[in-house]
Amino acid sequence: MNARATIWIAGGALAFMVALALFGPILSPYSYSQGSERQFEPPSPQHWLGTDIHGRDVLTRVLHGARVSLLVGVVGASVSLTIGVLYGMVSAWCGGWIDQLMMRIVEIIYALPRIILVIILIALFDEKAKTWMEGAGLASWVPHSRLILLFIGLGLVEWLTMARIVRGQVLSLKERAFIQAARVLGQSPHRILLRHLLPNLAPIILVYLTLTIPSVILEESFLSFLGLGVQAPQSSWGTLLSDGASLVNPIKIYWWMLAGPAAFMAATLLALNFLGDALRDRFDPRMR
Amino acid sequence: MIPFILRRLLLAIPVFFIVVSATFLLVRLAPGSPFAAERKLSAATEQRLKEKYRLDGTLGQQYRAYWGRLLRGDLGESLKFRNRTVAEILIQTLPKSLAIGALAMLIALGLGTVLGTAAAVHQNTPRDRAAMLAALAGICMPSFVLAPLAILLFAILLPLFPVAGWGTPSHLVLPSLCLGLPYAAYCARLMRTSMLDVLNQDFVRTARAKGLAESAVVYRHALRLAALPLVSFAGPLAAHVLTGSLIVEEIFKVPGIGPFFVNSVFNRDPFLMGGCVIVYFTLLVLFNLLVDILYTLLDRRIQLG
Repeated sequence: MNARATIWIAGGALAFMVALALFGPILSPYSYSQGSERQFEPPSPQHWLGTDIHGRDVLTRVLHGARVSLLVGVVGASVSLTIGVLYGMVSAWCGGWIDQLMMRIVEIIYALPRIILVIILIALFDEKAKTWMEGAGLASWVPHSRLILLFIGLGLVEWLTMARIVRGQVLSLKERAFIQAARVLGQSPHRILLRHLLPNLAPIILVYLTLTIPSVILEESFLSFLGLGVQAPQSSWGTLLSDGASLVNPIKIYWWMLAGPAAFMAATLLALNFLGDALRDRFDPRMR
Repeated sequence: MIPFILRRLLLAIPVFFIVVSATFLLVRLAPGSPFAAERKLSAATEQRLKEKYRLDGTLGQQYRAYWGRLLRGDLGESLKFRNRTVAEILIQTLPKSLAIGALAMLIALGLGTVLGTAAAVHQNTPRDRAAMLAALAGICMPSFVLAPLAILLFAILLPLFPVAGWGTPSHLVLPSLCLGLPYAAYCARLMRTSMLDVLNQDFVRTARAKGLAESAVVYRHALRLAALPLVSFAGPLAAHVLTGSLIVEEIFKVPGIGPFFVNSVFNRDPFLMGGCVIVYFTLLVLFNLLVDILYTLLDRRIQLG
């Protein structure tokens, strides 16, 4: 299969998943949070993916969880993208001791265990963020403070690789004739970075964005497994998987609690990875 | 070689200083007290506890006291697991995590190299596609799904291995597989890309023109160079895997260091967390050094500098 077909198929699958996440919970006759009498029913025509311990429809919860997981992926990756691209561009453009210093800082952050860093951020700033939000008139956000910190935290640890890649690209672009020409013409560095460098970086940024989203989704699921992500009765793929995983025991096997969320998450991650690989084959200058 | 190693170790010292300081200060600045428990402590008791653990006074005094002890080789005591020093906890738990981690690294690197090389040699054949699809599936499978599935399949339905616990060699199998397989998938993808790159180079064409068997070309000539990206990926990975995985150790009930590391954050336990970070950082520096040395052995053109 060539890269172009892969891009269309994987992109289509992702669009379908986003549509399911947006409209699925609305179309579903069940509520993601309201329990019923019918606990632990295997998949049936009424409940396509079965029901959980509180008698809630697993499919509805998976689709509701898709909203959270996809949002975390996109927002986390965008935060990391913004920081990484700006940091890498500035570092490479300034060069000299500024470049040296900025890259040493990246190395120091690399030397801390990443997921531990996110846990520290969430554990340390949860209370502060709540007070701050109340003070800033955002009281309605308070119940979601963990989720917002999760977005920021995951973004804050994921930008390092992006910064290195962008720096490498800018270092080589910087010496090219068209950038030299722009410089000689007296354009401001700010304008050169935005108008000349950024468009040339766009393909590679796009590629690594599609590869960052899956790793952010995986990290969110890990943190939700630890109880740091979304809070019940909200769901994300991570909390659903950890619920399912905690029910694996020798006496009774509730396989549908694990199979449903795992299938949706695996399908999304596969599509994103396929899309990222195909885009890289097409656009990454080093892959030609 | 020796001056290079010494210089690298010297350069690691300031980074070590910053990393340990940042850890301690972050935990101490955080809201929440390490002594907060279900039962409210009286102010006097809390003050005595703080004095006992040298956490009284200003932040600057606490910080200086911590470094004073660290430099004398004393990692302090855990505030949560009372009467156990951090050194004791590390000595008890670290070997178990190291055993599982080392096996997981062997699985990741071994399987990754074999799969990646096979995929590259048979590029664009069904074998290549199957190997890469398996690798993608491995990447998309979080360890907390893989672990219960492995227990279900190989401990409950097919009772080959114990469900959980620690003691015999067979207790090691499932945890290290669950820890190693996802990384084996990353390694396979990395190996395939790099092997394809090397197989297109001139010296490989020369080796083939000499009439060498394809297996000799791949395994004796190409593999050494193609392994380079894998080696640099393996350095930080080893530090990460050897310091224990919370999820794998928790699911398989392995008394390793992983849960202590993560829980020290929740418990605001500065000394235990400092000890864990020191172990992680030391491993990271050592393995990155090992990576650079391996580089020169694999590719003689690379000079250490």
